[in-house]
Amino acid sequence: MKAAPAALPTLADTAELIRRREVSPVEVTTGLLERIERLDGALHAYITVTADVALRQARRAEAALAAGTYRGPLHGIPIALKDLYDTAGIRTTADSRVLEHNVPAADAQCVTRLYDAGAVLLGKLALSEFATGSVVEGPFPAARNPWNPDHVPGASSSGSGAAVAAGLCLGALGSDTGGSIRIPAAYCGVVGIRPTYGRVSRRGVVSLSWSLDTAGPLARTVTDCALLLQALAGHDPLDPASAAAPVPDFTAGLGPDLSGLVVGVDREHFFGPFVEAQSGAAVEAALGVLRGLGAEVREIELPLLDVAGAALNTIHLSEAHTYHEARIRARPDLYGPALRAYFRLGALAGVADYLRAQQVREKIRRQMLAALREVDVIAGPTTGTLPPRLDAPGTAMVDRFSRRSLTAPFSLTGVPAISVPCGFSADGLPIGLQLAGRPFDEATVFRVAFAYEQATPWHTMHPQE
Amino acid sequence: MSAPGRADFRAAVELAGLGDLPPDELALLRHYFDDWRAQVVQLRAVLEPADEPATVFVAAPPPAGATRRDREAAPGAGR
Repeated sequence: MKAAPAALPTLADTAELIRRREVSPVEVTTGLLERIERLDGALHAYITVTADVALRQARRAEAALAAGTYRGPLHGIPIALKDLYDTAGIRTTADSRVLEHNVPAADAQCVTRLYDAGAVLLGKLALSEFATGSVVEGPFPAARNPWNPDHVPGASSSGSGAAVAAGLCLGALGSDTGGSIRIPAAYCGVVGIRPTYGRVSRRGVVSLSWSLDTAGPLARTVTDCALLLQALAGHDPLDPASAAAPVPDFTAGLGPDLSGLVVGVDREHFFGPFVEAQSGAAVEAALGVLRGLGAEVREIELPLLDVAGAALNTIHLSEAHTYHEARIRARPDLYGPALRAYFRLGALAGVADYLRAQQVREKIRRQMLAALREVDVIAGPTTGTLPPRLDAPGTAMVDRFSRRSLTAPFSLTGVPAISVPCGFSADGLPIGLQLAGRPFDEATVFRVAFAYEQATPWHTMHPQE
Repeated sequence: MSAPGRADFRAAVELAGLGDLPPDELALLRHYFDDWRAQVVQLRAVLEPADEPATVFVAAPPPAGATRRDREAAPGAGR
């Protein structure tokens, strides 16, 4: 690793330069397209690079600035999308043979919001097939971790994590069903937030498990993530899960002082033998930093989290099966073997299994909300493991059930959760700190993450090129 | 079908109409099934009769992206 070179500015820094007209959207876009051309052959972060679209949008942004129109901090900012967001006229594959030649007629609502805010689309990013955990069977090459290309970048928003970490875009959208924003953020040493369920429209996003799917951003810093979520958040009457909740200014409360904040830690669930020692030590050190910033760190107990993974898996496989049932019966050959078996597993679950899982989910949610009345955020490692090698046993879907998920409890309960870099292993692989908050209180999650980030050096470090 | 039937792999596969899958595909499905059924037992262990299903989560996937004209026509659409 090395200190940040000038070639990797943050989204917020670039926005300020564009606003002051010290750099043009076309210059920024051209520079990033050159980086993609030079570096992505080894990383495979992108499935589709939309250079023509990007340059056209950048020129339009530049012309608007020249005419005195500035749309805000995303004006002229090049971003990229996990390849399950519908993009009008641009292939959207979900890394699946089923959708390999799918060209949507309309944009996902998130894409419209980013365009309305002035963002520039660099391209569509790699993911695991249909956004399912760690499956690597799709038609496109698996993305690699920029910190060490022999290791996975995390799933399922693998290209989003890799592209942000390698400086191949200034921000990206991922999606998170059981951890698919936070895990690649942790493994790639960047920031990623799963917003509250209902905070961001999922209209036009390929579904995996509709009562869990959540759209959200990954970026280099907490501020960058907050700026992206600001553009994405808001009610969409055409998404049945969308909430009509007020959207605060997510950057307004960012600062260095955490006095008065209470950070909850459930050691039984988030620490123990299933967490690698280096990850646990990095997160313990992070808790010390939070104390130093004025926060009280308080022990809490959430015993039902032991079954959160079981409830999530049962709901996930039932809903995923329902979504894919007709297609998988008609053309099973278009699905990878492990994914095919996983989606078929949902056919073996009964209605009673699904409803029991939803009952358990409600019990866990009540326990979680009760804890969040006593503390402002809950902290722990984002993952129990360091990024595995691409060829390591256990990276396939077949082993997913046996693992304890540290991200599942917050997915299941629909609360916002962020992963922020908190250190590196001895081998130079990133480690993530997870912070979860009350429903629709992303502002407090950002506040704690920002104060921690600014007190530590991790966000200034980038992979060797 | 009763829960014990669902807990039996062969019965569940037949009920789902998957009994004619090739042996290698059935073997992988069995691997997943055994692991998942063990988790279902955990779920039952924490439930009590008075527990209610979650009511805060929607029961349908989101629609495909609408056209710009659709969006503009929707009451309250936009930020």
